Amino acid sequence: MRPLLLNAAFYLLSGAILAGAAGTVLLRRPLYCALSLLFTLLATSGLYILLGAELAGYLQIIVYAGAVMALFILAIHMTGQDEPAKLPPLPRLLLMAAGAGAAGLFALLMLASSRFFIAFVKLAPEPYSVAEQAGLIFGRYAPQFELLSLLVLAGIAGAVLAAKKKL
Amino acid sequence: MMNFLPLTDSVPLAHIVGLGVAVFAAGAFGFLVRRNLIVLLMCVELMLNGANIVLVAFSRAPGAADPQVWVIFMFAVAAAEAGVGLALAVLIWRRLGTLDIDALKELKG
Repeated sequence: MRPLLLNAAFYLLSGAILAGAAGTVLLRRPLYCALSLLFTLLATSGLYILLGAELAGYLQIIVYAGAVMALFILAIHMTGQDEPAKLPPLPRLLLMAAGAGAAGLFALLMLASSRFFIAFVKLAPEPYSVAEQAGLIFGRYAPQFELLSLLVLAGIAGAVLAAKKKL
Repeated sequence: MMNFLPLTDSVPLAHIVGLGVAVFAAGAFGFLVRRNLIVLLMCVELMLNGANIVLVAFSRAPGAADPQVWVIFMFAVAAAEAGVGLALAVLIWRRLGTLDIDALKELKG
């Protein structure tokens, strides 16, 4: 692809991700928040593929945008949250404090990583092969992988125990 | 020397990290101001997503595949977190009939 197109694709995807994130945070109906988050996750998977993290991009679509978001939308419908809640508005001071906190977090994190900022990232490079990443997962990170399977098992057991009325 | 918005096939690392950090900060802001439990969980997912963007960016800058493996691990963590969190949300809704976090006062002394 021509360099200009790659560059434009990056900034378009960035705009889509930021717009989706803003929608997730600001929209009133939980269902619209969920759809906005879904949009963000799909745009992010596009970004991963553009940055050469193809496996992560495809898994993002399958696991995040597929399974996790289906779970969210199911929970929203199950609990009847598709109407916006009629709540008193938040105090202005709280909103301002939260905004200032988020802006401070942004500044702090950017400051902390700013010494790497002379680097450039090539768009659409040759992706790392699945075999290479599988070699890492089952080689250097095998203990962590096993711990992760334990975590998921505990998650399944916990979810079933928590949601079941009577055992 | 730094050439912003260049017509090349690369972008400054600062832009990608800035995007990830902005998504993270947006999620944190939402976590502080929203009151629906399910929307709070969505904001946590947003924060995880921002962290993942930064990991993928750094996996490309120095050139090691490791951070992309961590991103894949993060997917499993996020899936487990969403499963347990939503089960708890359904449980709370069944007990209290609401998902408004201001109604959760049982731990108040």
